[in-house]
Amino acid sequence: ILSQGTVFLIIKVSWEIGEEELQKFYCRITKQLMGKEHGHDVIDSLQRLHLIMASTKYTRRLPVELHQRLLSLCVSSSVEQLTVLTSAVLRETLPPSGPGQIYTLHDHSPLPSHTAALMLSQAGSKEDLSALSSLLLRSLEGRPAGILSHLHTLPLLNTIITYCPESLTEDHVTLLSKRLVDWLRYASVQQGGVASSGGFFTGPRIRQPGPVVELDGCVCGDFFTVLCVSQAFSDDQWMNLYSFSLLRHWLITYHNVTDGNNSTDADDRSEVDGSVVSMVSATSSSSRLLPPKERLREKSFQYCQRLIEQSDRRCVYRAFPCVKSLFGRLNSDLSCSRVLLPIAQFYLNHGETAAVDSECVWRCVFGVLPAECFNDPYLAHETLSFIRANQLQLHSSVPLYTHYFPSLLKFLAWDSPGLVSDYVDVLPSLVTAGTAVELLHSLLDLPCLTAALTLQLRSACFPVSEPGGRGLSSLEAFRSPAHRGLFLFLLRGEAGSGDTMDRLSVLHDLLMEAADWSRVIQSAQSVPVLLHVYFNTVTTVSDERLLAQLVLVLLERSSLLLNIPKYTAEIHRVFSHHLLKLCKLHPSLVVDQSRELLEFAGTTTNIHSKEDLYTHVVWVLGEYLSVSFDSRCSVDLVTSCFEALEAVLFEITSSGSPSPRVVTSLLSALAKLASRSHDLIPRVSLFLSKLRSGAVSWCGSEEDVVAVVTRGEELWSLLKLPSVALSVLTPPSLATSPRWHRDANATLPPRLRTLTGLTDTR
Amino acid sequence: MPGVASRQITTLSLSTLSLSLLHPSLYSIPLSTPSLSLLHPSLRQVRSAVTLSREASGRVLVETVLGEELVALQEADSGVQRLGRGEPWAGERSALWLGVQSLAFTLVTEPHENLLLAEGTLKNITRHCLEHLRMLGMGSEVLLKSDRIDVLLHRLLPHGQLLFLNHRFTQSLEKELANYMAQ
Repeated sequence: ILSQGTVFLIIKVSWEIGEEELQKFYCRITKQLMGKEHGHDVIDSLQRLHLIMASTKYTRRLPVELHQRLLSLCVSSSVEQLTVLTSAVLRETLPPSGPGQIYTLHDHSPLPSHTAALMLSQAGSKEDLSALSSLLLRSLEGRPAGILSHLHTLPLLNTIITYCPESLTEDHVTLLSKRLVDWLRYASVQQGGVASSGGFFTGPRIRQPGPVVELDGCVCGDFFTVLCVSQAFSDDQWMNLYSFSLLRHWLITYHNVTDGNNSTDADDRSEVDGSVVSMVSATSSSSRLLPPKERLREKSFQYCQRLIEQSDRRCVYRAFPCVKSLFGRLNSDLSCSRVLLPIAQFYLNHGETAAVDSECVWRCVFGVLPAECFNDPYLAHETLSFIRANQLQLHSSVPLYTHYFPSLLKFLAWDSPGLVSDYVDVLPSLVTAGTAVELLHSLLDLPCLTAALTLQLRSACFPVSEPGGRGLSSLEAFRSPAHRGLFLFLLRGEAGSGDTMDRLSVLHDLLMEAADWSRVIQSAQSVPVLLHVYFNTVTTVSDERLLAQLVLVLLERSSLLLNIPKYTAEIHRVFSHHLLKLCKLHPSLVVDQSRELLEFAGTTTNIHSKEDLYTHVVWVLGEYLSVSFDSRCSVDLVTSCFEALEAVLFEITSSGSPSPRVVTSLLSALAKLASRSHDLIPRVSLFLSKLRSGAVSWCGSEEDVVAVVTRGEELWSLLKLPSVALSVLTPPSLATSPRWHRDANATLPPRLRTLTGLTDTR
Repeated sequence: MPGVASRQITTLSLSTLSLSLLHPSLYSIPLSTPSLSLLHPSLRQVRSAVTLSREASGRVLVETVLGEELVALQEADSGVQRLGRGEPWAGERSALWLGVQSLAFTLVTEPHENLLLAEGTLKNITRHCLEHLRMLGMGSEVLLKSDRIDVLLHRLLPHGQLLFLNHRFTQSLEKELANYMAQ
């Protein structure tokens, strides 16, 4: 392979060419181009010139004479290599710096394709594009000679309408629609050109070209399409090809109308297909009377039908039955999986109108295909694009769509880096009250799914265990009947058969060696961001009961994760963040789930394995376990919580060196709880005074000591005044959600100040 | 037009700005290039996509030399990367890529275009590039014979238009190409 060194060497030489040498080079080329003959040395010079210009960061300006010479060659030369090279060199001089450098459009007809490319590159405004399109369309009206010149008109127009559809006037559009109909529907069905027969013989001896043939060799049965073959093609057959290649884009850009009114609503994209169908059912014989645009749509539809027929001769129905039987034929053939997506789009757009049962289509597209072809990057990309483009409609027309999320997650599990941004867009649509809990479990086990899919593929490739015991233990586990159930559940295609499996820890042990597979690690890296999306969405679709369930899942799964480095820590961080948010939104959750939260907080081992999450749980308990947030919060509850936390505090400070963060959060929580039940104040004050006196032998560094002692000091002084402590540590909601100018009391001081400021003339 | 990325500008990658180093020693020769300063973001994304894909699959690259173009193509890995709004085009695009040895070929498509067709076109163009520019060898044809790429694109992807070529149309175009390359 071309080495980096060589490339840079060559480019360096071009960079470092001195100004004087460059000018001499320009002169030499100009002289060479003046001559009549243009041999290899001219070509070499031009190639060299192109390299020099292309490798310069800024736009080089050529001497005027050279410039003009290149332009005239570009326009008039009949040697393709010269037009290509001159066009390339001239493109490197764009954008033009002054008026002398702009290429004016003379009536060069035919406009050679490479020159047209140059014209297009220099177009700087809609007017330029309009002028160019007028020129191109004018050239179509005549019958210019030379293949390249007018055959590329359609691709050029394609580029123009991509960037500025308005540069074609209504007349242009009508004219071109008419020409497109001619090329699509009425191209010649005789083989074009002359089959080369040695060159000597001209005249009647020449073999008459026969008709074009179908792909299977039979004589062409209807009009010419891109699926007809021939030894050589005539001009209008080439135009048939270019017309069809342009067709979809053309229809989308100019024909998104219904009943003739030019509404360019973006949502009308799907209407294009709709109006094609409805036109066909309304008219077929009177097409000649249709206005050009409608006639084009009619002919396009016929063309597509013909293509489908040619692809499969047995299928001769119109529209829906046609598509339906195509689906029936293709859905069992996985190699045609990507064709099924446009069919699905068709069903989505027209299924209701035609009152057809689309369930089998959705089962195929969302259930079967992702499960079978999860490792096809193109299918994944197209399926996700389809879902993203049709989210609203899927939500309303295909209620079972969310049901297939386990299958849909397989694409993501296989190729997380490529697809995670798509799933960030799509995931919210999969979060419903019915799927929420199961989906959370599935997201947390995404790396396991990745591992299982890898094993599934490997198992299929190597059906027999490798001799010599070099096989993976996880592969053995995958194949063993004892663990069949675990993997079957993990690889299920549809939701609804349970939130998660019982023996999750067993599964994690079995997949332990997968924790350092690249694919699994990549998959694990995508989970945190998806969890954020999940939690942000789930609060909008859940009631308190569901949220309570989610809190439990949070606590439970915090210790049930596949052991990938950093994965657990990341998940805990996400959990902590969202636990806080959830409790802030619904403080009564804390009282509701107090038993489980207390159990979690009371387990000292949690401090070491999940410090982050632990401190958040403690904080949440301290903050929201209060009668002001939920009237069910009894004094007994506060006391039992206090006692649990107190026990933990004593335990960790009497043995081992706990982190100061844990200690301070426990202290704060205890103080808060005590402020609500004044009997508890003496107990906590006792501990705090011990701190003041310096009994902090369990503290690590000097800074930690300072932090803990300071906090202890603050809380101790606060608790000396119980009622103050209450209002500080359990502020009434009025203080936590200030209403500022809306509150009559709060606005008085600022008002007074303003008035004073205005009236004070000092 | 400011910021317009015209697919038919065939400044095929010969400037240093578009020859960027991928990992570990890859080049990218993007076949559809907007103005050069806009090129980098999409190149970087494709580079990451190729790298991550190869890492995940764990495949070992087999060295191929001149003459083994078809083998190199068979061994190539491929995929598609979504380019969101502003990365760097105003609208969404899809970047199809084909990784042959240490080279990555990229074709950027618009949402309305036929991805299956684009995939086939990219493979075809790559094959021609490898063959006509002798890219598996040590030569520098890719720099000094840039007109070949222009002509190649001009036939198979004229002004950026994807074509529904059946084998006969393709044959016809390839014959013209062969004539040109023989000069």
